[in-house]
Amino acid sequence: MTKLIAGLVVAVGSSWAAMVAYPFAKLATLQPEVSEETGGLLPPPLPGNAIAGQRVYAANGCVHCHSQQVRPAPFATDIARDLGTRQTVARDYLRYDPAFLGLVRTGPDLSNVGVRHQEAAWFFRHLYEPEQVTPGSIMPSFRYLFEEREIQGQRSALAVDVQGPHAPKPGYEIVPKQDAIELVAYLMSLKRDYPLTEAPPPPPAE
Amino acid sequence: MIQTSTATRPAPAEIDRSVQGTVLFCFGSAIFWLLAGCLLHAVAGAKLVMPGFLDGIGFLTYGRVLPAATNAIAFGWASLSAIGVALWLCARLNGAMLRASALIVSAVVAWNAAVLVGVLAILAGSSTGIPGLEMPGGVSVVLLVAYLPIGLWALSTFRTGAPGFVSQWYLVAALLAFPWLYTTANALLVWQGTPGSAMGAIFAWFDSGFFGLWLLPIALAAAYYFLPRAAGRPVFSRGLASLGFWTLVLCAGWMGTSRFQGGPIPAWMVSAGVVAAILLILPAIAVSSNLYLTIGDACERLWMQTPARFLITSAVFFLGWVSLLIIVTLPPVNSIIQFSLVNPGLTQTALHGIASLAFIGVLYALLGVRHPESTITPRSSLVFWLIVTGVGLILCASFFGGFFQGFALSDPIVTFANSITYAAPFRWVELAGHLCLLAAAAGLARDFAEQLLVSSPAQAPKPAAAQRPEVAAV
Repeated sequence: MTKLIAGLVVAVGSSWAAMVAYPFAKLATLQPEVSEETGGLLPPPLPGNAIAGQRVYAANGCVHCHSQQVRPAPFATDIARDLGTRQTVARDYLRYDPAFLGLVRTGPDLSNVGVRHQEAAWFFRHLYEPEQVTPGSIMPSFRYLFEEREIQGQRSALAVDVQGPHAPKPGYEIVPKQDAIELVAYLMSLKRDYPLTEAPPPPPAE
Repeated sequence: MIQTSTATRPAPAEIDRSVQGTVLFCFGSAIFWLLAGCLLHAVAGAKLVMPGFLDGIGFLTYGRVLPAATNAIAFGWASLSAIGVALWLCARLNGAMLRASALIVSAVVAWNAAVLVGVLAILAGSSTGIPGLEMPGGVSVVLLVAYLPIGLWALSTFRTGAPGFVSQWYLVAALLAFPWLYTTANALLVWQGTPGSAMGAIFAWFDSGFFGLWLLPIALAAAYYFLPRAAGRPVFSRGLASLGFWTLVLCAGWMGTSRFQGGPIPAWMVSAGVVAAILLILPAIAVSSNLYLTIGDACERLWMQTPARFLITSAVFFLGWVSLLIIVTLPPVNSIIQFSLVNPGLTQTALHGIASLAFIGVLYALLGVRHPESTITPRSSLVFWLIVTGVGLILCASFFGGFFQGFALSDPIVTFANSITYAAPFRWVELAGHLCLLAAAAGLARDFAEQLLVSSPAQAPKPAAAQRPEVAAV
């Protein structure tokens, strides 16, 4: 019995040391770099709303459809497909807890969704009526992160320009709840377009 | 370890009587979770093919229903039935009577309550967002506390000295691995977060270990226990059994990171994961050939016995799953299918094709002790074929659909929308597979309830199997 348990501790313990203890000690303690160009930190710190948005991303299971990994060429075609200009590396994720690496692409990769879309209004409308914004999309609607309310005086600056079947009644508007605001702040923070020592920017196109 | 001398070893029938109430309670509640999990999975599958289905409702959104389903299956169905199998086999193999059944039943009640809270919390929007570990931190604490008396009792039945039966090795491995895996993963990912991509490696270790070191060893313990008994022969080769055991416990922990090829974790970790996944062929061949050579020409006779049919098919799925896993782990293939339907399909194959079939086989063996029935019944045969068909449909759909989707995702000139279009027909097939599994769960629940109602322990004749001497290799 003792030999069996000792053998198990060695067999399972070896993988524990390599796949748990090592990354915990090395990857989780990575520090940001100082940009030679701007003197700022890379990756840049996240705004408060984006940090809070991680909870909304987790709660609604976005990770079950969206990855956040750009794999290097020539192993994969992620860069040729414009998912990013360079591969994503461990340091890219040090601001995120948890890092939603993702295992499937039922929806597109979001590593650089904040580079591809820079208007919060686009994100709000896409979350509210995905099929209207991206025809053929099978993403569920996150209408429950929004509220329909009567327009009081001026229309809200955050009001969503809804065009599909779930448009508000006349005199009403669709505005994002706090969860939607935080989620969009998080999504807009997903930009891995800064240079890092281990992931330099791509050479300029000729 | 508690000393249990041979002279005081109780009769198998007595042992069965002491544990069967507790084990049937584990299985009864597990079947509820199988039904709930399969229903939720079917709802999630329907949402992928009909995005308008139950759309716009927070607690029914795809990203909540899917993890609610996987957690109900992993912690409700698979883990509870694994606990039931482990309790029964530990009692049988070690000649131990379960005298603390009230404590164990209380622990199982607490486990069920925790899973219920966890699944509802996921639906309510309190998921941690870590695949496989979505239930809130408080739930995992209760699960670990509930596991404590279960695991301690099961391990305490082992006598000092080297365990003689192959099944015992697998049981010890699983009973020790579960708290190790689950405590580590929760401590580093749920109770307190670990920032950055370290999360990926730790999650991968937990996820591959949860199946490979917890559910799979208990399924194999059941196969090594019941199949030699049913065939009336000892295990063919102890050496082969030893090779299969040690290579599995080594590879299962290391192989997880193979899913992050090209990902943001060190390349050596990914390479180690790929090598371990490929080496998994060793336990697959060792176990399946050992069981095949043990059964020999009794295969046809065993096929007509409910528990043996489930367990033989589970071993076949083990070999098939590993073979496919190796193919899709090879880097040139992996670069194409990495984020496609393939990997979730293989996970379902492992869970239901290997673990569910084995655990249901043991359940029928236990019901058979109460109600001896050596030949397969139409009802159990229906459950069997529904599971095999369901897993077969999910596997074919995810494999072929996954390759279409993967090629679309890899080709720079094909739009992302096309990858959805290519996968769409296969998602329908996958949904049909989940509906088969749901029907199997319903059939199993009905069979279980009926067999419990028609037989009581007092009326049940002495079990034929329990009277036979242990014939596994020593």
